[in-house]
Amino acid sequence: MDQHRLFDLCDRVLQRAAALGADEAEIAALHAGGGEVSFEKNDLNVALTDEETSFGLRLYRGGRQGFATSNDPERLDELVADAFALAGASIADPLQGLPEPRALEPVADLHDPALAELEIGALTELAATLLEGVRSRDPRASIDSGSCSASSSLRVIANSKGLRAAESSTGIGCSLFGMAVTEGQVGSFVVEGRSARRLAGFREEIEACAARFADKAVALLDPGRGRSYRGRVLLAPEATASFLTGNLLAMLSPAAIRKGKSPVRGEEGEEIAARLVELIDRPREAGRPGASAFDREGMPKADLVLLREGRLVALPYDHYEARAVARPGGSTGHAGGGVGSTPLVAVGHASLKPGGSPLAEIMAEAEGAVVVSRFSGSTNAVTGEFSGVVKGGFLVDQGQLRPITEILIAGNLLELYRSVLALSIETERLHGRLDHPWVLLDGVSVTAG
Amino acid sequence: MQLSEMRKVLGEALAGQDGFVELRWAAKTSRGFLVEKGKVEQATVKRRAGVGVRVLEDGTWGFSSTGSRELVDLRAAIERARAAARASAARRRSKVPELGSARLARGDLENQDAARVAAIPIEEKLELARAAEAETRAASTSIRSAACGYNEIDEEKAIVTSDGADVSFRILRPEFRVQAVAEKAGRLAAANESVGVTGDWDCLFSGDRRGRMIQDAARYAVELLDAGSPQGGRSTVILAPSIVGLLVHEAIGHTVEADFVQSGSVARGRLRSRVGSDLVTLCDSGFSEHLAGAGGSLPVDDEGVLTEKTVIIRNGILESYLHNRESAAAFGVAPTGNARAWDFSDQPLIRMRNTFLEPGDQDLAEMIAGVEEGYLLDGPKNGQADATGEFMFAVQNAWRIRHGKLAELVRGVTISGVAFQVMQTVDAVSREFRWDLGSGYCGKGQPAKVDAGGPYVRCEVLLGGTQD
Repeated sequence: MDQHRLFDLCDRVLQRAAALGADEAEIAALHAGGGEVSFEKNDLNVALTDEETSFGLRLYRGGRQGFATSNDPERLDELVADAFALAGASIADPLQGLPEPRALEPVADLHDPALAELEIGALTELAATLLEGVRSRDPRASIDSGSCSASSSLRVIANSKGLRAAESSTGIGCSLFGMAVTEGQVGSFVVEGRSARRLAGFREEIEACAARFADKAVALLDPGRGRSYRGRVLLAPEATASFLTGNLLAMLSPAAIRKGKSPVRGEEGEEIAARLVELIDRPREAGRPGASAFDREGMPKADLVLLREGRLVALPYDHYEARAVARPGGSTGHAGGGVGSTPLVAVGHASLKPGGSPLAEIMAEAEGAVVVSRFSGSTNAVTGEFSGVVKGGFLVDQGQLRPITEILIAGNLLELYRSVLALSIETERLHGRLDHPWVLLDGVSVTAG
Repeated sequence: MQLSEMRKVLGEALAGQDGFVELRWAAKTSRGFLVEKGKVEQATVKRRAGVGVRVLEDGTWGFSSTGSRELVDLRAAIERARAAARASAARRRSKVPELGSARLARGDLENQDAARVAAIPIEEKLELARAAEAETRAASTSIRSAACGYNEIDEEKAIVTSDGADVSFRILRPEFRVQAVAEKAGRLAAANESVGVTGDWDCLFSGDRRGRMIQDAARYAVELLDAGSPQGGRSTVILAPSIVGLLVHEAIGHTVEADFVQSGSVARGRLRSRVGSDLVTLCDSGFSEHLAGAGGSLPVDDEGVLTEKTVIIRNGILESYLHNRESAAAFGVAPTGNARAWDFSDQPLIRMRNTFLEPGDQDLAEMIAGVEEGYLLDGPKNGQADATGEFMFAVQNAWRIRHGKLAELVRGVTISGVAFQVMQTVDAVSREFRWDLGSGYCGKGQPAKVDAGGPYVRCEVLLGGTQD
């Protein structure tokens, strides 16, 4: 389906909503297709191709919102009727409404024609390369599941205030999930993946992914025991991204702050982290997976510094939350979500700025500490308290990394941010998206089994 | 189009096809309402429908899907699935064995519960969430924020295969959730209660469940304000049915899914060996055993196989894995009806349904009285398990047990252990039984609505907490 046809369908929906009596309406549509070759039991499993067009309609009647979705272009009248009925049953909220259109600046290198035309046979060849790469690197590495996939999509958003935004993009990715298996021993799960916007150069990414997966899995064999203590812990880049950064972003949600459900409420402009901490969102980097010119409401995306020298200097906003605090300038372009959901504030490209310490120096300071590759646990976004298991855990033992198992860590995330001792110069790019450093922290409760 | 008519369309699309072809129509309508602090945060209806096509050709699977229900589009999707299979066949090392016989379902299966719940007006469903949210906020002056949500997933399916499955059915799963956030002197605490069933509202709200959830969420949020943290270390614990359910699902159930077994899970090669104490009998069932309403109930799986109750561990001995048709053929056993797909565009995977530990013969009070120092744990917040069988669960409500009596509530508790080792330490199992995975879903590349539960169970685990 081309852009012209998709906008035609969207316009029909907006007209139908207006005819029924909606005050405002917004339609988001996505036409996506592609292929995937999945793995199971160390072998190719299923090859698939698919193509689908889906729609999400948000409309308002007297400040009351209704939202409906459909994947059937032939039944868009039903979509409008669903959303209209829901709005009729809902409760009025004066903050509800849609944004006015703004100028959009395209992001370069989001679409690769070679990838859009990739056949399932060529994708299977890439998948086989990934599989063979793991086998040849180390036969002890076992793939439980994974896939190699390619997609091409066209996304459009139109609203009754005249906003019209469209963007075509492509993507290719691979993922592996598994463990090392030897006679009498099963290692811990490891996850590895890569993604890109372009086909050129992705074979090299696949080879690197296979090698890294196998090495990570095998490194976790023969784990020893750790010790219980309160003190330093070193986060590897994956844990920095998902645990340290990801959980803080949940607390920076303006909706959570507005509802009194965030521990950073009232902290805007205050120092909430050690002074060497900077957190920046960069959603427009050319060619990066996930990069885009506009958000779920069609508002332009832009870089945003959230923490500077440990101080909370900005929060991300969508249209609703910006209205709730009467923010001059309105939305910061952080309405997240897909066609199938209503917009909600989301920060998708934030990472901690690397520090000034070489990793070797940090490692020396972390002697006797636990290294966390992944955190599998619970972080309470209301209080900041966390507790869970260290996955891919190591002990820094005379400068060497020794695998350990049955280690739990606990503490408070905001206290961790205040206790950051060092961030590494070295970074690791995760899933082709963002570069994250190693982070040395203090004051963590470590319990060994 | 009626479900029975859809079966006929799928049958026509199959006419003249060679080899194994499976066509699965799935139409899903989700209705959801969320009210928070007096505002309607969500009022949504989501519809998604289409046909998933799976073929077995040259010893490998090909899959395609289409949102269309037109015959010409279905036949085109079959051809795309065949082309995908052919493209990957040469690269597949181990060919899929010929699928063996199975108890394939036929006919239109009636479900009056689904029609009853779907017919309730949206105004009534929204009012349910609105009124419950207001009651939760009013339950205590310490409550700063409350949220209540109601969701239902209404699914219609028709499955037709070239070797004889020809069935249609409808399932409706309503869910209800309450959250309360309390504050005292700048300190916050949150508590959640949720329930999800396969059935109607009488089942969802049986025994004044709605009122109890509101009161419990508010009470626990307030009580957790003054709760301290536990000391980390190994401990005797009594797991409530909610935690038992999560444990048997995450830490054991996944390791006995036959695809994972073939990849090398800790359960591989351990059939007929001891993995738990004599008190441990673990099952997975498509039916709601012992009590009505289990959230993962389904009459037929997504390969068209009739579901059943599968005994995984009997009196501590590992007895069976969970199978789809492919793994059953590879192991030389009958399929257990565990192939499930979330949407029409998802391929069926081996998934659990309702996983539970069989009840025993002790009273909870008697079990508590037998603990000198330990904890009673209830209300899982989340959980994961590793390939090694090592699990981690976060717990909302943890009460200390001192000298055989329940004592104070503590917060921020996480437990861990290696499942088969922990199962060996089980020394008491209660008579009382509950399905209690709440509104939880299982994730394995695609979601699946599952349930889990069991009795109260006493065992030894590693408890995460503070260190001096």
